[in-house]
Amino acid sequence: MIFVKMAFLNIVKHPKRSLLITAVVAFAVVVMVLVGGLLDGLRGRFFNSMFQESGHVQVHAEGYRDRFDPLSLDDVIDRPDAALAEFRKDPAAVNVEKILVFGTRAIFKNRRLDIAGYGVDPAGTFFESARHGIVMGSFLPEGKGIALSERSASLLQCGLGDNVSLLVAWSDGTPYYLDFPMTGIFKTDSSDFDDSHVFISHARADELLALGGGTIEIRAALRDPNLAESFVARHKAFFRANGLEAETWREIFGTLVTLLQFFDVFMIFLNFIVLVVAATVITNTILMSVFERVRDFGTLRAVGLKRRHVFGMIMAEGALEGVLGSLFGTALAVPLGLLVQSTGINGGQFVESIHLGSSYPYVLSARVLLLSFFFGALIAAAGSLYAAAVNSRKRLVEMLRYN
Amino acid sequence: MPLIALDNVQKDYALGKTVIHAIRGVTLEVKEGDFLSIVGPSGCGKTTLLNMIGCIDQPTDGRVMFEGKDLKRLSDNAQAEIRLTKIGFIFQSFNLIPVLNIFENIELPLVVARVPRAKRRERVAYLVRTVGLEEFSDHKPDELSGGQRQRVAIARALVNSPDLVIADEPTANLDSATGDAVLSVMERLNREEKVTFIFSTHNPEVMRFAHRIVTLRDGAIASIENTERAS
Repeated sequence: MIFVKMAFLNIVKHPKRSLLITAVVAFAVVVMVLVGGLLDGLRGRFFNSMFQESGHVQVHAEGYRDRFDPLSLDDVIDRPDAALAEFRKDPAAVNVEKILVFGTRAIFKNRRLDIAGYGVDPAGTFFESARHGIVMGSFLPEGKGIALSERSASLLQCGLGDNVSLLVAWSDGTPYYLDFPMTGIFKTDSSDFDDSHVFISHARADELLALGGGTIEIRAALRDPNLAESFVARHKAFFRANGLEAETWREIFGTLVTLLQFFDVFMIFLNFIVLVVAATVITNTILMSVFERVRDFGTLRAVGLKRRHVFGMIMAEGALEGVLGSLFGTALAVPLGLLVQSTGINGGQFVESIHLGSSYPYVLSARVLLLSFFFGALIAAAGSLYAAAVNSRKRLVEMLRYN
Repeated sequence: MPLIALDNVQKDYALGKTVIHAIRGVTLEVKEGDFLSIVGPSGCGKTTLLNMIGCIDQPTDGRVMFEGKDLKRLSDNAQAEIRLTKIGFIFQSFNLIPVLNIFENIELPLVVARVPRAKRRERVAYLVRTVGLEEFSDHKPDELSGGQRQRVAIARALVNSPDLVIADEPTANLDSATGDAVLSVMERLNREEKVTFIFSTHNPEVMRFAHRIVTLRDGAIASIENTERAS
């Protein structure tokens, strides 16, 4: 206890030095919490969006991957209900829905807008951002109507109740259109998404496109993204028998996954730099503090302390400063993190371009806080390690003569 | 068996390319209960000799035997154990720990020796009384005079009831009255508790307290004389 007290009193006796060490640790903790929260936020948003929007596995008719026009109606799944039944039986599947993606021209009076149309299950859960982002009306009530984004509605200068025509070209080139009453206006946090999505029910899309009960895509959300490959493997025979092909999220978002991995590495590198700088400052400061007290440590050894005791004392002092710094850092990082979490960080075009919304998502998690606290204390202890090692290598007689 | 036996002890220091022979073949025996003074001019090797006797430094050649054990052959930890349990040090510049109060400074060796708290408090309280510092026990070292600090150092040196107390110029930083008082305390402890004292000085006034005076000159013993107090 007396040694802990000595460590504490030494910290109090040299307030400027102690403040410097605790401030450096606190700064490192704040940076680690912010960086960690950003990493968690990006990853969380990515996987969440996969669960709610794109699914972990997408199934198409064979040849879909090789086609030139992503909105072409040439590759249709003819018997989607059999596939839906098959996939819904899989224990890994949480949600399986058919989606009909098509290119269309939305027309209201003399205004028109070329956009991607999505025929979806009105009671489904994919495209949650649009379903929950309804600002006026509701999302395809009773499967009727059309849901447009606020931006698109503004471009078309239409409002709730107005009839919007969707003009399409069938696969043989025949033009066809249907009128849809505007039943819902949505707004998500991605203007890119808002500008490119218009929703109608799958049944009405089928009617509009005259597909005779077919669909373009089946999406499956799984309880764990890592089950995607095994899901595909389990249904390989079914795909082959029905002329289907499947892509996992790793294949669909290959570039994005690589980008996120690069981002992870970059953030870890940034954390590493912060830790190295902090550890260097702490090492120098503790070294200075230890060199000023070499004679005191010599006295302690002269009265019977062993080298390891003195080593432990210096380490304890560093660890104590580390814990104090980590506490201050956490106290600063929590409100800051909560603020960033509530407001987000404006990410501009870059984040939008990778379909992660208009701002960097940030998540303040207990895991990041605990890890940052631990590493904060650890860098102070690591910083003390060198000073403790240098001091404990000294000969006792040298220590007592030290000025 | 003598408490301490020095057998042809030599200590050399390398100063650049020059070798300084600080101690040249010292042979000496110290018995239990002795009150021995090592005297000589500055630089004659008093502190070096005390450091080797006290397990703080090692001889370049020769042997320092403590209770029949060759200190050079002991491990670092075993030497620390001897310093903790058998030897007490009183340094010229007191060497008190500035962040601890007087009570805690004296208590420190007992904490290291894992003496139970109640026994520690009893022993420290006794020593604080013995050196006459009862009213200063919660003061920090920098709140005391030089003489008071030296008395704290004496109490700390005695707290583990060592067989030997080594004092390196214990009165060098004190005025003569305070120095006399400090030496009186040491003498009384030697007389009443049979503690062996070895102290260095170059002050003739201080030498009169000793039972034996070892005079060093250029690192070698010039003379050993028994004083009238020896009996």
